[in-house]
Amino acid sequence: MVAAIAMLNGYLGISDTPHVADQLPYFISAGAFGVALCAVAGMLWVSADLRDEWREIRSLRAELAASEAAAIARAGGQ
Amino acid sequence: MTTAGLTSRQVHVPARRSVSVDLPVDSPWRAVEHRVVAAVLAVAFGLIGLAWFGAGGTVDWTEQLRWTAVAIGGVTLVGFAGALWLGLGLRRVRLEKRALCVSLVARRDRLAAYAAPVTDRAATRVTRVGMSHHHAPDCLLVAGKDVRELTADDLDLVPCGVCGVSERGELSINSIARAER
Repeated sequence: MVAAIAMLNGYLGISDTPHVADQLPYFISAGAFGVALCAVAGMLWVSADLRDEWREIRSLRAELAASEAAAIARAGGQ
Repeated sequence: MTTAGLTSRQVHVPARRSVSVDLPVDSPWRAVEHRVVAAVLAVAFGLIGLAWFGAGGTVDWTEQLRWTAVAIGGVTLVGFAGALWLGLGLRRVRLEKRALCVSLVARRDRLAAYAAPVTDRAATRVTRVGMSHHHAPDCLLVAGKDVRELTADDLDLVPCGVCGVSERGELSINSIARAER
């Protein structure tokens, strides 16, 4: 959302002036900043999914290990 | 050992550097990686901000182009940090999945080893004169009765519904439950 607002602001600023010297600061502050923010947002989105997946796999492995330990204990008790 | 068409050779995983060592339980990234990526992102956004102020403070075209290059460098740095972060995470999740699969295959092999004697026992079927079904030797329906093993003349007998092996050779639920115990 912030990235979209920044890029829209940059578009409005650049389209307001015909001078390249006025346009370049908008290109940097809005364009580059907006693109960088988009990249960070995507990175956070994917890493949230990765973290969920990681937790799920870890809990599965823990359950499996606990079940194995219980089975070994049962076998040892017999 | 071969089970269900999959050999242990097929699930062999080459030795790799362990990835679960000193990783937090709730995240595939270590604390130092959090700090490094945060620092790189801070530098990248700092470069973009610096380029903005630099380009805004002059009307010299050549000077502005230099600052634009600095801003593009900042964006590239953001991309690099993101790729590093996601690459590490994806790799560790993939290795964790692989470890889970190896554990599951090992568990399946152990269960199959436990079930094998039961399967062998189920392969031996018995019946007696006058019966229309064949049974496992330990089936309750033939307990204490004078039974004999099946011969080629008993092809018309059908499997017992209590202990039986299905016509496709699958074990009954009771047999599988015995194997699990």
